[in-house]
Amino acid sequence: MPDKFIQSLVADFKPVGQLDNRQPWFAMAVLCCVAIAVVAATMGLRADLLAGLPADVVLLRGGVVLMLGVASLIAVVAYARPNVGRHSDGWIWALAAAALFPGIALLSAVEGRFPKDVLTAPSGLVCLGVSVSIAIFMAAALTLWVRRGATVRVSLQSWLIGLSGGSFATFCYSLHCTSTTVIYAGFWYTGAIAMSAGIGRMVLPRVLKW
Amino acid sequence: MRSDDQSLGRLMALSQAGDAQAHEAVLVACQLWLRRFFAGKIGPEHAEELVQETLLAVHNKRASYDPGRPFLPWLAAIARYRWVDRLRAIYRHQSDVHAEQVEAIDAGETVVAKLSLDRLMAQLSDGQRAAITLVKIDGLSVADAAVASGQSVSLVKMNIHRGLRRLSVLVEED
Repeated sequence: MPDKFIQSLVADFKPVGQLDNRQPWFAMAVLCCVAIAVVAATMGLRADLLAGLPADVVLLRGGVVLMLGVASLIAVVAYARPNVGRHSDGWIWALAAAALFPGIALLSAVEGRFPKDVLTAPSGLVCLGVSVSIAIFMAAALTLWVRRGATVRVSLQSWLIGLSGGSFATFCYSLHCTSTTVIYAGFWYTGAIAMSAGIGRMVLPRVLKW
Repeated sequence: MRSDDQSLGRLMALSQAGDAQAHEAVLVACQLWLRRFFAGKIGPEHAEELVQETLLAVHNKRASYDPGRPFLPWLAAIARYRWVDRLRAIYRHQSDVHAEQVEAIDAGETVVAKLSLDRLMAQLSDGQRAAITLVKIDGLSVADAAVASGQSVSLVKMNIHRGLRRLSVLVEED
């Protein structure tokens, strides 16, 4: 015979749909399309992309940040459900691959080859501002979905949501970005993604806690 | 009643689909499981409240269960999350808990043993484990715990603080 507490829960009972893992993917796809459309309409896309002949570095940086977004989104989806002993570590490898860009920038600084104009380029702050702004929308969409679940890895999930949103947002901006240097991407793209992840870590734990 | 993972998983899947009887059955089974799971891991006057809190979380978050996956790791993750949260709440409010022998965990339940809170406690330092056990589970005052463990009063306080913080991290990492 169930006790009164369980009876009260059952009295409140309604069918629930299972948490749908496809929703965050759909949301990110839609938001990426919207963000690219806004970037294209307001800032324009790279001429080489429009011509169908993108520079190698554009493909490389875009591919790396896109993979980082995808890998971290896989982890966000996995960690939205409570579980003991289930890990989703692919994002760590994607992050390690993406770290090559800031690594090369750091190496060039150590060797005294870091181009000063990368630091002072006005487009750098635009890159940072636009990417982080888009990332906030993406992270907000992911947060709404994750809150329907029950993450027990609140801190990690907060990082990952920021990382995923920041990576997708930076990818969208990169389609406009006129720079063609690895060092520029290593400095400003890394800054945008790191800032998005940091904001996620600072803001989201209180939102995700349940 | 000894609930196995598969039958609980099936019941929860039925519950998600709207079967109220299955929902009641899964909550009753979870209640029994949780009482064993939390036995000896929190002061007895907090134990039933913690079981209810966890049942409420199971009820509210049932959409997050994936019927394609084992049930007990899902339940254990929720239970551990609520347990650490409760320990921290007790710590914040400086409540006293009193010692009382409670039902031991059935050693035959291998899944329970695997997911047990003991495994988390074992990853704390000796000083942290002793301080948390004596004050937060056995219900001693900080001064008595200091005498019992051979630590200074301030060290007991620091070990509780750091131990609870470490437990929060361990729950997230495991």
